[in-house]
This record gives sequence, structure tokens and C-alpha cells, in this order.
Amino acid sequence: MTEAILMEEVSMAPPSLGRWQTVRAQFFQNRTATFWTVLFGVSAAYSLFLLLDWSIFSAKWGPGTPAACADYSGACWAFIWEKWSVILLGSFPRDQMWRPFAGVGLVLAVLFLLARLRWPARLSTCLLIFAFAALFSLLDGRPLGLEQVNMVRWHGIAVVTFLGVFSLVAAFPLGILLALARVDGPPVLSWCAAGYIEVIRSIPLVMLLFFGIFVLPLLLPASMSYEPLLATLLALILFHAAYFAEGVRGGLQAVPDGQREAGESLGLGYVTVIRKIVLPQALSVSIPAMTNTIIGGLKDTSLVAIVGIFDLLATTRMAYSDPEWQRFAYEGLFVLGVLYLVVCTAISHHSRVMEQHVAGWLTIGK
Amino acid sequence: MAKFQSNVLAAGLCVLGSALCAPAHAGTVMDEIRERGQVVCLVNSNSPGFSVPDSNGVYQGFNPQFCRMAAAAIFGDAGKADIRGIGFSDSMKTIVSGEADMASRSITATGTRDADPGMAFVVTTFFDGQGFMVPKSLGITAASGLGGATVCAEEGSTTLSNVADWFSDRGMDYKIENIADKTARLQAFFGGKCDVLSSDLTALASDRLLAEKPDDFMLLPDIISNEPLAIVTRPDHQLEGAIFWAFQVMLWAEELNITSSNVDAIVADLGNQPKAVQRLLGRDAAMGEMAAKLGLNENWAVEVIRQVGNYDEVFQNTIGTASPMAIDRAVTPNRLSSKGGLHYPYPIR
Repeated sequence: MTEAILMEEVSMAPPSLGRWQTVRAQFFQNRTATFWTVLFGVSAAYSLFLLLDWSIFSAKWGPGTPAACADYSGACWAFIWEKWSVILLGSFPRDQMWRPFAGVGLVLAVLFLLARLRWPARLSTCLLIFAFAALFSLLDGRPLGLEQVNMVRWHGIAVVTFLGVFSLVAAFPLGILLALARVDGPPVLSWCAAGYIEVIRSIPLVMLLFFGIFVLPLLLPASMSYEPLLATLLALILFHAAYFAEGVRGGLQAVPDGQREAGESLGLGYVTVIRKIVLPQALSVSIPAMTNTIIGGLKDTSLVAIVGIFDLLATTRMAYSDPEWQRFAYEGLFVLGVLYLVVCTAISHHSRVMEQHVAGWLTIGK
Repeated sequence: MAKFQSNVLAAGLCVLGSALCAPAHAGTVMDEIRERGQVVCLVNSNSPGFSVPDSNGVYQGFNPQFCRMAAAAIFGDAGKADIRGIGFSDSMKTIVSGEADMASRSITATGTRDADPGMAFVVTTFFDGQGFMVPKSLGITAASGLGGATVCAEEGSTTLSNVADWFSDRGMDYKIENIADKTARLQAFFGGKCDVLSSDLTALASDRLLAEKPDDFMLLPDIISNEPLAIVTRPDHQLEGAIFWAFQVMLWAEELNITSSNVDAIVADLGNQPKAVQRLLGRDAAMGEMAAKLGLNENWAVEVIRQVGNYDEVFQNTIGTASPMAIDRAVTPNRLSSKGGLHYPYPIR
């Protein structure tokens, strides 16, 4: 008891400051700091005011005609009210509208569950394959005995989910294999993997897409053709795999050799050592790098618009190409920006949660 | 060797999904269309007035109406057109590979394109060309008054060289304001930095709507380049015939003042109509023979007019004065030949 009191008396902690004092010490400690604080504060407040004024106070809410919007100086949300289904679905037949919503909802639910429950890899893989099959079946219709909707009509959220989510999901294991081949493989395999990664990373995605959609069909015999959407999926998988591979390689190199040697001295085989000892640590270390790839990859889906696939950006453009609504491009693009912001923020938030989760057990070995 | 590689590549891609590879078809294109029960028609995905999905995702505008025209002639049901939006560079490739039957998407008919054996230019639906837009306050009514004007135009296209040729041929002074970005170009024009904006007529018409007060601006009647926007089909005698003649029916209907709303009344009283109307709407020798030889619905002319309308109805409702695009048909060459335009209805007999 006395010891504790003694400890407190000799505590070297700085005297605690009040809230105002903390603020003053941090933001107004001298003239320079005060200048920047005031400058930033004023411009931030003004920008926020402009944004709120445009998007809320001076905006036209609810349904309405383009003419009705002329009376408002701010945003015309009547545009979104009128065109939401075009922005989300493009020209997917409206009597079948539930299908893309159900499919995308299912995929998001699966991703959310996997993020929350941290199920074993095998179960997660099965669930993801199921989600992919379900999305494909719902969009296409034939496997479920529904009316077929041709792939050229898979627009907006349907195509972004199909390409964005599943190109990344499929690229991930491929990336791991590439990284292992590069780091661990026999020389020839290692060179091949390194060459593949370097080549893909040096080619712009746009060029790869162009090649897959426009050049490759010219090389094929005339009777052969393939769906541009699937070719795009394949191109995205091959592309993202190279980036994942480099992320994973960084992780692999961060795992001390002792870990592997310890495993081998226990008599474990190569696969088991990699699966049970090396990869869990390597993947944990490479979470930030992989989050980068995932967010970048998701946003890169808008590049498919140049090969004629209608992603969300392209469907938004469809919505404001209606001659009556041509002036409301900002509203559409604003909503789309918010949508991407929310999704990408959620991903980066989840990656931080995962980092904290693995930080606990990563330190155990040290 | 290259052939072998490409075959292996193709086989590999086909393994990806057996349903993905289009099987080789036997029989004529028209047989295929009838068997499918739908005509697959490509349109532009976001071209204001010409082709844009409405709020329900259904393509509307000038171009999709000709898809419906084809379906109405072949099946007697305009709803049997499978209308798909597609990017420009894909559209001709898709026709050549046979994945679509026709394209009505503002494709300019040119010699080299028509020389491709995989596609056929059938009929020009819209005569477009490069024109000028000016503020009404400028007070000029023809391009001959543009001497000394500052012209806003897009870099890196034929637009610029067309303008240069046109002005220098006439020995007129001009200044070019060369702005690649569309938004910046329009801002410069609407803000008064240039006196005149030059682009394709159709683009000018939709750009005009982006002005604060569209009515302050007007298109000049001069057209300085030829851009015949035509329907493209897979090469097939019957299909090309069906589309060409269904289009002639729409022109004739306009010439003879038959519209989608009065066609039923006229048919009911066909005996008292002028001979030309009787020939167009009756199931007499000529129409019946064409229907049989081209494989059309027996009542094809009436169905096209009833379900799609005559050329003027389509024009006015989608891009003409009855629409926000408000293109004045009289300042374009898209009038009937009887009114000094280029649309010349061929005799159906």
C-alpha cells in the first residue's frame, strides 16, 4: 500500500492539461502554428459550408422534373430519384431487376460474414465459390431456369461486383503461388515467376484489356469468339495476381528462416511448413500491401469502360446522357464518388482491424 | 505455326466455359433471326437523343427506333428487337463475328468500311455533317458571315482540318481556339471566348442544351463535311432487303401523310385512298411478293407504320422539335427529296 503511494509521488508524468490547454499547446503553440491552424480552419469551414449548401440546403430533394430543378442553386437530387436504377443497373431488364440486387447482396453478405467470423480457409473458399456461382446464375438466369439475360446487359453494380470482387478473389491464391515460386521455387520456375510479375507490372492495365478484347479476337479463327466480359475477368485476374505476388513476397521475406527450420526439424513437409508456419505470418505482414492492391483493383474496374463494358461510371454517364437530364452530371458523379468512398473506407477499416488482430499473435514468436 | 497457336489459345479460352463460344451457324442470317425470334440490334449507349436508356433501362431515341422497325417488318412486333448498347469500336467487330444482326448506332458509311465482306451498309438514316453553332446575338444566319471569327473546335480530329479547308477555300480570315476537353470547349464557347463552335451537327444539337439558356444559341444551316450515318447489317440478301424497304415504307408514309395514329383509319377505308396509299398499305401483289421473298410479316408495311411511325414522327419525337434536342429538320439535309432534302423514297411496286 505504502509502496503504491510512493510510486505515485515520484511519478514523472507531465502535469495533466485541460482540454483547452491541450488544444493551445498543439495548434497555437507559436505564430506559425497559429497561422496554419487558422488558414486551414477557415478554408475547411468554407469548403464544408459550400458542400453542405450545394448538397443539402440549396438542393432539390425528392422527385421532380429537370425544369423544377432550375429553381434551386444546389444539387438536383431529383436526377438520382429518376435515374437510380440506370446508375445501378444500366439496361438490365427491369422486370428481372431483383436478380442483380439479390446476387450482389448475397456476395456482400458472404464477404461481410467472412470478415466477421474468420472461418477456416477451406470453408471460406467454398463459400466464395458458391457466391460466385450464385451471382453468375442469378445474372445469367439459365442455370436457375430463369429467363436468360445476355452478358452485354450486365451493367453497373452487377459487373463491378462480378469483375471487382471475383478478379481479386481469384487473383489472391494465384498471387501466393507466384510469390512462392519466385522466392522458393527451383531456378527456372523462379525466373518464370519473376519474369511474369515484372512484365505484367510494367504493362498498363488498359493495354492488357485492349489486347484481350480487341487484338486477341483477331488472332483467333473467325468461328471462334469469346465473351468480352470473361476475357476481361481473366485479364484482371492475371493482372492483380502479379501485384498480390509482390505483396506476399514482401511478407515471405519478413518471416525469419528460423521459423521454417524449426518446422523442418519437427519433420514437417514443405507444404505443411508453408501452410501452417510461413504463410500465416507472411500474409499477416503483407496485409497493408494487399489492402493497397484490393482498393486499387476495385477502383480499376472503371477502366473496363474503355473496352465497352458498362461499369458504374459508364452507367452514370448513360443516366446523364438523357437529353433532358444532361446538366446533372455532377449529381451523378457525386453520388458515385460517395459510393466508392464508403466501400473503400470499409475495406481499409477492415484491414486495420485485421492488422490489430494479427499483431497480437505475431509478437508471440518474437 | 501462328495458326496452330491461335487454335490452342482459342481452345483454351473455350474450355473456360463451354457456353461462351458461339457455334458456327448454318443457313441464312434471316433463318437464324426467325429461329431466334428476335433481331439483335446494336445502338450507342449514351448519345443524347440518338440512343440512351430511359429511366427503366430501355433504349430510346432515334437509332433504336430502326431496330424496332426491323422487328416490326420481320415479326410484325416491334418488341422483338433485342436492343443492346455498345461502344463504337466494338460494334462493327460484333457484326462481323455474327453476334449481332444489325447496328443502328450512327456509324458513318465509308468506302473502306463497306469494302469489309463481313458487313453491309444498308441505308442512311441520318445525313450528318460538320456544322457551326453561334450565339443568336451575333446576328448571322449563314456561315458566309463568319469572316474573322474565332472558332472553337476539338484538337486531334478531322474537325479542325475541315474548318481550315473551308475557310481557306473561301479566302476568309479566322482564328482557331483549339481545346481538347469538351467541358472546357463548351465553357469557352458559352462564355464568349469564341464566336462559333464547330462539330458534327448532332453533337452541336446536344451541346446546345448544356448552355445556361439554350435558346440564345442556334445552328447555322451550312454543312461542311459528309457523314452519312447508316444502318449496318450482317451481309444477307433478305435482311438487307427487309431493312432497306422497311425504311422506304417509313419515308413513303411521311410523303403520303400516313402516321402511326391514322394508319388504322386509313387501312379501314383503303378503297377510297389514292392509288399510292393503296399500293403501300394493301396486301396486293407487290407487298405480298416482297413479304414472301424477303421473309417478312405479311402485313409488314402497316405494322412498321403503326408500331414505329413514319420517318418524320421518329425524327421529331426523338431529336426534332418535339424533343429536348430540338434539331430543326429544315436546317439539315434530312428532309424528303420532295422538300429539297436527301431522303428519296424508292418506288415500292
